[in-house]
Amino acid sequence: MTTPNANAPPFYHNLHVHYIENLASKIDAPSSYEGAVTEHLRMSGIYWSLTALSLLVSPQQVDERMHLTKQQDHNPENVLKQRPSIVDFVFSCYDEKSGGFGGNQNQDGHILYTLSAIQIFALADALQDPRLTSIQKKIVSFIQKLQQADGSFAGDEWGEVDTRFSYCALSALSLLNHLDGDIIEVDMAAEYIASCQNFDGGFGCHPGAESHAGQIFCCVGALSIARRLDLLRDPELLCWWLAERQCDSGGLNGRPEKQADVCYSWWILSSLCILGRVDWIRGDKLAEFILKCQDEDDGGIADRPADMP
Amino acid sequence: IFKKEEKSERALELTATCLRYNPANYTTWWFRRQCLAALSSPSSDSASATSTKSELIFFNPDLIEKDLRLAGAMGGSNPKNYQIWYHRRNLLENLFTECSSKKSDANHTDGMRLVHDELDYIAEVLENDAKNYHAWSHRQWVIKTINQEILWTNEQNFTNDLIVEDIRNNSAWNHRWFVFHRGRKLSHFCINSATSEANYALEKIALDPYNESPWNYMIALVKEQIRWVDANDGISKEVFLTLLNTCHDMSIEVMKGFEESTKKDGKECFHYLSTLIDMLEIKADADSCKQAIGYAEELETRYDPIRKKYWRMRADQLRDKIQE
Repeated sequence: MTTPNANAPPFYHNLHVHYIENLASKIDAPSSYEGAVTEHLRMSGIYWSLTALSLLVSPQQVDERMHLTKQQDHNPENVLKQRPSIVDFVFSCYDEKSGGFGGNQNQDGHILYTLSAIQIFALADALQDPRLTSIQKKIVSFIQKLQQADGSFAGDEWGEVDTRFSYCALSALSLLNHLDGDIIEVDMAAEYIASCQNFDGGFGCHPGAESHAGQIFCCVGALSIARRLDLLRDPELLCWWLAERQCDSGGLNGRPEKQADVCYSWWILSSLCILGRVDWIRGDKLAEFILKCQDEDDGGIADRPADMP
Repeated sequence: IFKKEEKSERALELTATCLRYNPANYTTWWFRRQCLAALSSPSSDSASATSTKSELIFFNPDLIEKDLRLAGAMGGSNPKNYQIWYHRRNLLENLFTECSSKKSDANHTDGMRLVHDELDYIAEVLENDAKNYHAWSHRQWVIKTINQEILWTNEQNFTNDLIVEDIRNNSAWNHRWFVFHRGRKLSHFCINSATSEANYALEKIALDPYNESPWNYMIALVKEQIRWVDANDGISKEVFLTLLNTCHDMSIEVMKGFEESTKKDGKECFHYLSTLIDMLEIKADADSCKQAIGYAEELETRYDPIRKKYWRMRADQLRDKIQE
């Protein structure tokens, strides 16, 4: 779809591979500040790293480089290098009390990290792991209990409601093959999401909240999984709103009059793909923008050119 | 302390320390609320106080105020932290729900004071970051939960203040739409509001047409009226067309003024032609459609080529309309 562009640097494939690999050990270091402040969402961080790496190298390479399914070092003398596999780690984040997965060990179950956990299992081809199948009923029940009377989903037993959580619930159940079968009220979930459509065609975190590209991805994704895209009142207006996010730089912003940010490439392109309108933006110009956001020394990609990855 | 489920003053202190290191740790916030609930409960045996679902927890108003201050202090450097905003909401939820039922008791007075304090706090956060998504969504929750006419009316002025400060603040425009529709209670602007709000949008467009928000606002309010044409307490087709034609003609007027004062080509602002196309398409007669096709072709080839596929699609759709 896109061809190399004289206006942008090349794609630093190998640098990004190393960046992702190094991130894991950097963040795990006990003295790491970034590690400490992102501790509660480690599960999602792992998922994002694995997905990114999976786009760059083969599944076997992902497994080897990230110790996805196998422990790091079997040499009993090398105690410092002993580390469980990622899959082992994910299981260690299971919260028996709630039935969901926490963001890290000893954290309460939350829908966000439950989805990330299941996504990691899917990437690791571990959805049939007996450790998972034995707790599957409890996970499904955890998700089921989060659905509110109006069809929306809370994040955890005490928590806030947000359309992000609707997406997480539907995606998680879909991956576990438990979407059909009356476990949750799928139509009510979809109708709640539909009620979050705004006057500009977009979606926010609650009914009436400002349209935001990230929330739009969650809502469109959820409706798609629920097979209720028919509930979109004005899909063309929505796609137009998404297309309007493209700035002169080629990058995409998340809301009107905000700066372009590389992360919106994903939220917006996915939404446009689901709705069949990806050609309403210029892919080549977007690619140019993203390439300019790379760190050409250490790999990694920043939110905009010249920022830190 | 956590494992023993001790919910005491010192446990509360400990959570504050933990939160200073990592204010995004949702488990810590949850445990803190458990401590606050235990300390708020009339039973002196705080260790045995159980909290079930949040709707049964009434935090002591003094503790609420203290914790709002704590959250505010932490929030200062983390205005985008979901957990801090959710903590505020959780503290206030039951009290505010009570306030909305017009009983005038001590709880109500306390509650209303906290309502105004909370709106002031949110306004402060917005002073630093006028587009803070959490702040706006929290504000919507406060206003909608209390649901008092005077607050809704004040909010209309609030949105105007923020729009005047920065006409490009899309959050303020979104809030304006929300407020005029009383949350989602009103399904549409009444025709008088639609007309005055269209004028409001045009006023702001005149200040800087290169600003998506008022254009989106105006075309949305026009489209919203379509559903009420010939409806039971709706409007007649004539009244609707008056609104539509006024918006169309005034948009052109405004852009003429812009071109005269800046010596720029108004068409370079793609929102302008885009809105005209939308309005001409609503008119739907052959001449209007032809004019709209002309604009779409100009956008495709000259004024907004980054979205050329979209404009081509619009032109094709308009051609189909003429055929019908």
